[in-house]
Amino acid sequence: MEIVCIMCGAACALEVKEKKGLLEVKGNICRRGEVYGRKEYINPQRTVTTLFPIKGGGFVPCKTSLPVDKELIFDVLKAIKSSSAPKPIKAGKVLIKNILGTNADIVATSNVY
Amino acid sequence: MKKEYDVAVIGGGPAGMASALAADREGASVILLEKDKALGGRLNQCIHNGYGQSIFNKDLTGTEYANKLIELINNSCVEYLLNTEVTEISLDKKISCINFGKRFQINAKSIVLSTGCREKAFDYLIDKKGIYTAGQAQRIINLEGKKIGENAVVLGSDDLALIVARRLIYEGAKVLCVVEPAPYPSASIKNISYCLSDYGIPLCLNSHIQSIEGEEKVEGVHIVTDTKNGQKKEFIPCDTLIVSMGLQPQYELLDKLNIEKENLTNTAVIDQKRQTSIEGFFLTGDALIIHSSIADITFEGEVAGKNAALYAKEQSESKNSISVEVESSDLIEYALSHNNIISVKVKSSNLIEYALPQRINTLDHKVKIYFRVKKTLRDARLDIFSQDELIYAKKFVVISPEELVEAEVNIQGVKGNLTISMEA
Ligand SMILES: Cc1cc2nc3c(=O)[nH]c(=O)nc-3n(C[C@H](O)[C@H](O)[C@H](O)COP(=O)(O)OP(=O)(O)OC[C@H]3O[C@@H](n4cnc5c(N)ncnc54)[C@H](O)[C@@H]3O)c2cc1C
Repeated sequence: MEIVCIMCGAACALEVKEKKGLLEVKGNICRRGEVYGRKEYINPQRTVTTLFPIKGGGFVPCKTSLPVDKELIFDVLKAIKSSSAPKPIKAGKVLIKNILGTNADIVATSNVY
Repeated sequence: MKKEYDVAVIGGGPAGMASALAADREGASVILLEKDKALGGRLNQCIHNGYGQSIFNKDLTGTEYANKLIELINNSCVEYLLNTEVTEISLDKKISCINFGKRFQINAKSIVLSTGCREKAFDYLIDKKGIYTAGQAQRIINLEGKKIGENAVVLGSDDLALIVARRLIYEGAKVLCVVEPAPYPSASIKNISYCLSDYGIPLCLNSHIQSIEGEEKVEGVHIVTDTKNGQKKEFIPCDTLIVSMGLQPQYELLDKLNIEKENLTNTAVIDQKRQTSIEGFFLTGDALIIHSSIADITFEGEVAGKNAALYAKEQSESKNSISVEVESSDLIEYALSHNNIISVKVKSSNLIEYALPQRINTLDHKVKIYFRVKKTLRDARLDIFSQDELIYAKKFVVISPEELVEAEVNIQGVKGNLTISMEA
């Protein structure tokens, strides 16, 4: 698999391969590339940020408290869209606990009074 | 509210809040003036994460970062006025304000301008429905909670453009491609990966939009791409065009006072205190130069705020400054002139965009000089000379255009002009 390393501006083109059950990362000029390449190959994760609906209209910005599996991003967005929470909401409030069993919570990132 | 303050800070974004807090810590009386209904500036529409790591040691969203600063402001002695636009400042530091049609004046001993930036204007037909600037699209989606289209094309590949592209995808729209006239994208590698590659959005380099189809509404765009074998043309049907032509410092309030500027880059000339060519007037944040990291903004703001407070305390400090001038070179150079002020200029260069500060007071021991490169440089070497003596050298494996690179230079005893040279 080809992965562009994002750890710095060098943007090394990594090539990650499985060889006899072992992962091999090529193309990196430093150790951080090796770590990033492995993580992206085995289990890429992202923090998701979007708007969370407020009961009766309006919204509050929110995020996942931890990065979630990349392939779950759209399921997470869908789950957020079909939920809602009443006002007032303070930044840091947990809006959905353990979303889709990921261990990440959906947390408000701003205040709405 | 009083009418007299030591320091007035104009613009309540992260730079302004950091300035006000730093001035407050110096014991100055501080007023912060913000034209919007809340503090936070541009951060209020940045719901994405990627902020705060180096300052609060946590990955925060723009809104969370803003809230942290607002909390600090609320726990300080800084006074602030919302819905208050500054319309004019005079040389004797009288600040004209307007708040819901009510005019009033505030006097200060020193002034920090932190009014942020604006998006560069573009020549496309803006009277067609479906064309938005990237910042405008971000505001509509994130602050008004509205959707803006189904099928979008994005022109420009800076961080703002890519963050908006991902935001459109999250709201259920399709982003058909990102069109970039240059042969390389201008966003950080992280945003290219996390905003484009993750969602399979194609990046069309060496491309521009030749024309827009549709009478009243955008119905599609004609894209022309320069290739080795000539031009390739393609029509992409779409209902939305997002344009991101870059950001531009907004400091007209000071410009009207005729502060010294660099003609080439149109940036204001400042010294290491972030003081402009007129004593007691400081400039910081995106109003000074476009920053890509909130850590730089916060640091810059603190430097300006602290020095504005010190200026207010003893209004005579600035007599000991030096000026650095940069000689022509196709890389970068600096130069130093007489007394304690050296002046710094970036010569027309195809490697360096600009360097700050352009003036240095050599009574300081160490000065951080910041610069930005025009394109990604590998195995680059930075040398700083005072006259013919090498006083600083640094090697870089890579430097990319989105980072503000710093060089901390020991200037104690330096007497002559500084010259900065960059080789790659
Ligand atoms: C899309 C985008 C994404 C970014 N992402 C990141 C990121 O992931 N991580 C990161 O570290 N940085 C990021 N940045 C950079 C950072 O957000 C900005 O550089 C920063 O917010 C600018 O701060 P500022 O205080 O200089 O200006 P602003 O935030 O623009 O604040 C200026 C304030 O001045 C007020 N004002 C203007 N004129 C007047 C007047 N005449 N009177 C009174 N008030 C006035 C405005 O209302 C505004 O509140 C991003 C920037 C953009 C554009």
